[in-house]
Amino acid sequence: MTLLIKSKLADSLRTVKSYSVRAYSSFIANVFDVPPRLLAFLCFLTLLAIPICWFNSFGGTRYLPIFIHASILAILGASWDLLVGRTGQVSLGHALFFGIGGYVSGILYEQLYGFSYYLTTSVLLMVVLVAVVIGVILSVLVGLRRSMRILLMVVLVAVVIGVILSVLVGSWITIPVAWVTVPIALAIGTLLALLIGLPALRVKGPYLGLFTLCIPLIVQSLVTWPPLYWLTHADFGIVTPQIIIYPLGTSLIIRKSVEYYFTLTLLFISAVAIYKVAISKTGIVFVSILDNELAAKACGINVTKYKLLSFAISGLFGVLAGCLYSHVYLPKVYPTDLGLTNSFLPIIVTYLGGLGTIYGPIVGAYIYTILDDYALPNHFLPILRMMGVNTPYYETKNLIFAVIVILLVIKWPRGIARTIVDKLDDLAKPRDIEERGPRIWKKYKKEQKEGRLRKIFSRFKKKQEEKEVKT
Amino acid sequence: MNSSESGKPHLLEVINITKKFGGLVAVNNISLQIDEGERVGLIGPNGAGKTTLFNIISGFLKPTSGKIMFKGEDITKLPPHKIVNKGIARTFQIMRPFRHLPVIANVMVSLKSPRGSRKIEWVKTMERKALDLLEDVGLSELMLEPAENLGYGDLKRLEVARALATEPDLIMLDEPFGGLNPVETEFLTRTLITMHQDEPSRAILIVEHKLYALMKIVDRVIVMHQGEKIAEGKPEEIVKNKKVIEVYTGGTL
Repeated sequence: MTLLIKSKLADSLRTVKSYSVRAYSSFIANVFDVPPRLLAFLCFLTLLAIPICWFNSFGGTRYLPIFIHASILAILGASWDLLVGRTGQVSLGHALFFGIGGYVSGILYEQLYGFSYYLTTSVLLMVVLVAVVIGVILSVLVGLRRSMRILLMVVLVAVVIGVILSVLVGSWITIPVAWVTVPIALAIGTLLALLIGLPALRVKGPYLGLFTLCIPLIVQSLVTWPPLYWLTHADFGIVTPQIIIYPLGTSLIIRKSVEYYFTLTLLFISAVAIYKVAISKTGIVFVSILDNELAAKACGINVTKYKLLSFAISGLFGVLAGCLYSHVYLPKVYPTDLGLTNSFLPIIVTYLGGLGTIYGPIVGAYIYTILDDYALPNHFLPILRMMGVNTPYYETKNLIFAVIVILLVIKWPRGIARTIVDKLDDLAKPRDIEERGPRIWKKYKKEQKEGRLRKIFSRFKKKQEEKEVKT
Repeated sequence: MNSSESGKPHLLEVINITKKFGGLVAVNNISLQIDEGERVGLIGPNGAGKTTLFNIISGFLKPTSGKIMFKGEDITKLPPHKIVNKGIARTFQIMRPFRHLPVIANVMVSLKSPRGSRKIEWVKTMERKALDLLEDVGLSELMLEPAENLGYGDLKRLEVARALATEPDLIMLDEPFGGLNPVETEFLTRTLITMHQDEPSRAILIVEHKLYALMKIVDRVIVMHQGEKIAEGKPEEIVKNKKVIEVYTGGTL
């Protein structure tokens, strides 16, 4: 018996060992040997270490919010990039998604739950039913495949049964309010994105930009509209529920670090998700719409459906960024969140980093935030003051930032991150497609070697060669 | 025309199509029929309205009057992508590649359409089918190259591969040989002939100025002039047709 267990243990240990060896070798091949990826990996490690660096040294927790803001902006930029850089639907109104999440969540928090921190499951039941309805509407609108729709229905039914069971068992299970209100805000934001996407099917290019520019401004004026004061509190803003509820007496450093890692994790997840969408077959269709809508139609693609899908995915991640901003970065949401600044920030951030890439918006967001909130006020302005130029703080900061952006755009129009990655690619030895190329290329090469190539092309080539030999 | 006698409807039937741009009549009361597996050439001098007719059949333009029937169904008012999914694929005279995408991804866009993705999932993967199509047109060596790096002839072939990917019953080629050198022309001709041998039920409609290459492929030729159909018949007859010669040479010989 003991022998059997021992041998099984040894077996499992061996498999673990082989897995770890394989993981290590794939890391060396896919990350360590590819300069841009190595750089990205090092940057990620640096980001992980930031709170530790700041624990005892200058400023303590003072600068952590800057990095939290940067992560949030990166998510917003990445969502904007999926819509504009990869699908070609100009949006100048991402502030709508940025602001709406906080408002939905805050209004639910205040009106339905009366500022209670926790939620009992009986309330949850009602909320889940609403979510089910929204989910069904979404699945019909987006036009999922039948198998996906069945899967969605099964998941929803399972959730409903689970909730009913938990209510029957007892209502002692409590969860923070934000865990319910934020998903609802995400769902509503996605629906809104679909609604905004509908006119985009008729309006194109700059006109679409103008259209989307107006939408958040309309919502902003609705929010500050006096008759709705009871709901939105105009300029005073709404208090939003907290996503992470700390035990009493948690120190500020711990709180800020937890918030930092939370946003960083969500940035990582959403970046991976957006990248996966972008390189999937659906992502290929998105790029085809960007490149040539007419040709995409001639390929039998229902352009309408894919545009709406792009709007919905982009809106979802935009609302996620907004929810992080209004729940984690600040515990409040203001009408200024719907303002022009938040519409233009993702554009600036994406163009700084590089349009049509996943790393672009992330690098751009960190550069923008560090320049704008850290380097300029802490280093440039004191130098100016020392030189005897006594300037107002905010205006000078903006002036210097604008000059830097203009210089960068002239010098590196493709974006900072993209230029660096291109240069690194040039520096590295030419990548061996035979080894690291896609699977289909390897198969093709193998077939070519074995002489199993399918049809006329090889025959035609042979004939050409014969002709050349004759002449 | 044989098939209508046996009671079967034509594959494509264009009935009295007229298209006016303001005062200009681009296509004037044109009717034509194409049967299954037929190879039809559409020729005519510049400005004859061939491309306009193409755009009307493929749904990019709506006719002023007239009707288009495909497999007995009225497709006049359908949007382009639905027409493609019914089984009419087309290429463009001015190539429209997806230039950010690699060549193989260009073909995969077509395979992502409902008609293109009908069979692949249980027969082969999408990449595999895209590779096979690229092999048919001879672009498989370039499959990872972005489409913007491709030459003129390669782009023409890419267009054909993209149209073939939807497995159409009728493929419409708008000047496939335009701007190709003789070797490329010969290769594309051979590709089209092989394509027809592989799938004899697939009809082909070609607009072309290079009559020598065209005549090798087609069974029947339709001649258009100033928006009207002036002649129709076998290639050998059309070459001798007086009216056609008059139109092409601009007067009597």
